[in-house]
Amino acid sequence: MNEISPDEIIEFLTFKLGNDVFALETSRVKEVLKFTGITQVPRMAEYLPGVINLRGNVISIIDISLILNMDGIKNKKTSWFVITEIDQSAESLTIGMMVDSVEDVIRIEASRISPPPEIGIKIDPEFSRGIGKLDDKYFIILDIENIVSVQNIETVQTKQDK
Amino acid sequence: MDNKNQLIDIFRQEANEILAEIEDTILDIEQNPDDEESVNKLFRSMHTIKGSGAMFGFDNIADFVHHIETLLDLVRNGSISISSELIDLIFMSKDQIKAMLDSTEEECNFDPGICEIITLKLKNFIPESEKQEFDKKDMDSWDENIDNLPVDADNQTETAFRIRFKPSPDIMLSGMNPVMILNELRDFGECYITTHIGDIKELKHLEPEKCFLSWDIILKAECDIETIKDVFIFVEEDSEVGIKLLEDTDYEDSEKCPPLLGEILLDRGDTTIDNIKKALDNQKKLGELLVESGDISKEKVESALSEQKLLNSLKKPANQDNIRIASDKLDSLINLVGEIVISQASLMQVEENNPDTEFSSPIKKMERLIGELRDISLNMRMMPVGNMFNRFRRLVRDLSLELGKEIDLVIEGGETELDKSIIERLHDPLVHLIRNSIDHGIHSPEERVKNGKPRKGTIRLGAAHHGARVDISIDDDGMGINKDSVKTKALEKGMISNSDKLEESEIFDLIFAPGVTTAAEVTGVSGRGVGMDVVKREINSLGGTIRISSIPKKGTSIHLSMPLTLAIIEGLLIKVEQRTFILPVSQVEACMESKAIRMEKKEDQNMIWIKGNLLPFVRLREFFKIQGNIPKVEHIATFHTGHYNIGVVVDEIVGNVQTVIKPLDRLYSSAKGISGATILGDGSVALIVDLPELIRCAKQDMK
Repeated sequence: MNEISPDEIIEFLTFKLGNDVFALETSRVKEVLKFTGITQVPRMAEYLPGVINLRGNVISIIDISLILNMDGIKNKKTSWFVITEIDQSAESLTIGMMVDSVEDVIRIEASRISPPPEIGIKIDPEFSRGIGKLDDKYFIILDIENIVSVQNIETVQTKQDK
Repeated sequence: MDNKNQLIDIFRQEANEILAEIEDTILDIEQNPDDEESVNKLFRSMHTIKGSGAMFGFDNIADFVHHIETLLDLVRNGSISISSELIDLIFMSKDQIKAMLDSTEEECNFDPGICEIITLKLKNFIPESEKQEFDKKDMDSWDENIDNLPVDADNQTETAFRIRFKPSPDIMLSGMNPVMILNELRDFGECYITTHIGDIKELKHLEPEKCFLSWDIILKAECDIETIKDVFIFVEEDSEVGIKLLEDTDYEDSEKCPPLLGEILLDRGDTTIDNIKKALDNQKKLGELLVESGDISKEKVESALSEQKLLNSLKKPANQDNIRIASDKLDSLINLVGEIVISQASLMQVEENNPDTEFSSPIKKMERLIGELRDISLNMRMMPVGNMFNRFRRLVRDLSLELGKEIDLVIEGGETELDKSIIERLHDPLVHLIRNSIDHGIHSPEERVKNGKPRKGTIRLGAAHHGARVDISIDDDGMGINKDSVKTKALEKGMISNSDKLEESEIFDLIFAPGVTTAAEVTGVSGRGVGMDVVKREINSLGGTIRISSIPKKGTSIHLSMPLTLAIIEGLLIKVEQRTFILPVSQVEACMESKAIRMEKKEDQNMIWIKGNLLPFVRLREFFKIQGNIPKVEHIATFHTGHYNIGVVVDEIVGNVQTVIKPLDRLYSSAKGISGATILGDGSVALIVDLPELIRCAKQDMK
């Protein structure tokens, strides 16, 4: 995000996990789906609720709120899937993030995004790429790569195993 | 630029194939040094690499191969005899060519110094008398050693050749310029070249990168037919090349009449007597020519020939037996076919729900057609395992030399076919297993003789069909595996306890656990206990099983049982609490309801009496920790995997389905007892149960 000029307009999709608003660049979002039949995979950790069929491909669903150390999606039946593609050095992974509700598409200037503060936000700043402000509201821009990175997945796994 | 890179890629691909062939040929020569045909074959292969290497700008390869070729030429004419040093050197050279081939401008994978060392060594083989020839590095003379082949120069008189050269339309794509070939022929002597332009299409249909020209060449030269054939060495595969030696051309001194034009045309097979008669009737020109016997008049023959060419081309069937296609195209075809199979399944479901509609019959017909389509497309990916097996000959040779052992590799059932993607992924595990056999299985010749065995050990690598699966076995006649040392190792690692009573097969299974090795000492080859667990995991992930059996002092056998194909499997659809799973049907032995059979909990173990035998079982509901109540009537499917018989207890067995395996991604790939997923006819996702893994985990759970 450092190379972007302050005047550039960036488009975000905002969604809610619990009562907090989070965001992801729309360029990263492949599509948004309403909850559909999900196939649970036995013996998996709670943050991995199952897989879905997306036009012939098996897509992993992940409840990121649990990785962010929040409460988890309460009512899965009314939840939404935000399908996003993650590029990591060796692989490209398409996953569906389970969110409580999808809010809006917002366009703001890059200058209105500030780096994540060390304290004061609900989640570990390591999982955020910045805070966006629009009017008097703010939203946390997620660093999805970091959230599903191997180390963090493993940390959550061991936490849950205990 | 892209086009050039594409050409270079094609060259690389082809050169790699030739190199694989070269390796086989060297191995053949090593076993049978007197086999002239193999030496010739090796020479030809090297020559091809040199020629096409130079053509595509791999001058370093061409220069390097030139030296090998010179040496091989001397082997051909008997100046040098085959020795094991020579074979080693050729192997080294082959590996070096491979390294050079794999290098790109950005990335250099080879050490040019090695080239020089090999070249020096090659020179040492050359007798003094031949040295001069060797030092000729001039690439223009690359044909020299071919020209100088057994041609008896003294008795050489001028001979006439009729050469018909019809390059394949794609000749330019392979970087060949037919004009170069014609120029080369011109250098031999008096040369008449006729160009046929009859195949050229109208301008709007013309593909500019294709060659539609063909040539008739009449050549009078002091050389033999082999020399001329060598000119076409790079194009002969795809092109039509006909070379015919004509009778003595020295007509001035002989009383014999040279043939008439009509006779020539007849002899060339370009026409029939009827055609000539017709032409004689219609065309004065040809008639005049036929009257004028003697020299061949270019333009007039040309017209006659073009006409006949056209007539002939109408009759000629297209002779395309094989085509080369990129394997990723094939993969996407298979994927699509998989999707069609799934869509068909959902169509069938619709049909079942609404029987006797007007759609029933077309849907049934589609099912049959799609079944055929599936079989044919899967069949396209089937390849004989022999190609892979042959590559292990080099491995066995090199490794046994390195370790001072004498080992024969016997290959059986190389024609057995297996899905290409399975073959590719089997390569590394097999390398590992074969290295193990060489390193631990077979001992040094001296030790073998002491134990009353022949000096030379034998490793048998075999493949055979076994129902819907392919069995692959690696047998050695070595010393076998010491069960006690395996047990000791496992005890040290705390994997078993002293009180455990293990069956023989269970002891051998311990070898697949990480950290267990049977080797007394660690060598560079193996013995660190790393690897067998990886081998097992890879085999399992391919849907295969692996099993070891060993008889002390007699030898060790490793058996793999692999599915024929990965893409589509026959599955048994089962349900537990409305959740669907797929069990691989190729391993199912029987299915039954379980109220008819007694189930008992015996010492906390799940065991069931079936046909008088006590069979261990896993209740899927318990293993997968699925909440709910066990129904009154359960079903059990029994399986035979490796050396286990096991039952899997489920709520309901729905029936057989054909499924396309979709891998789970990184997030879910650690799921225990699940090997993949598939999409059912109704669009839902079902998980495929990984039986070997299920058994392993169930055992752990119990402990």
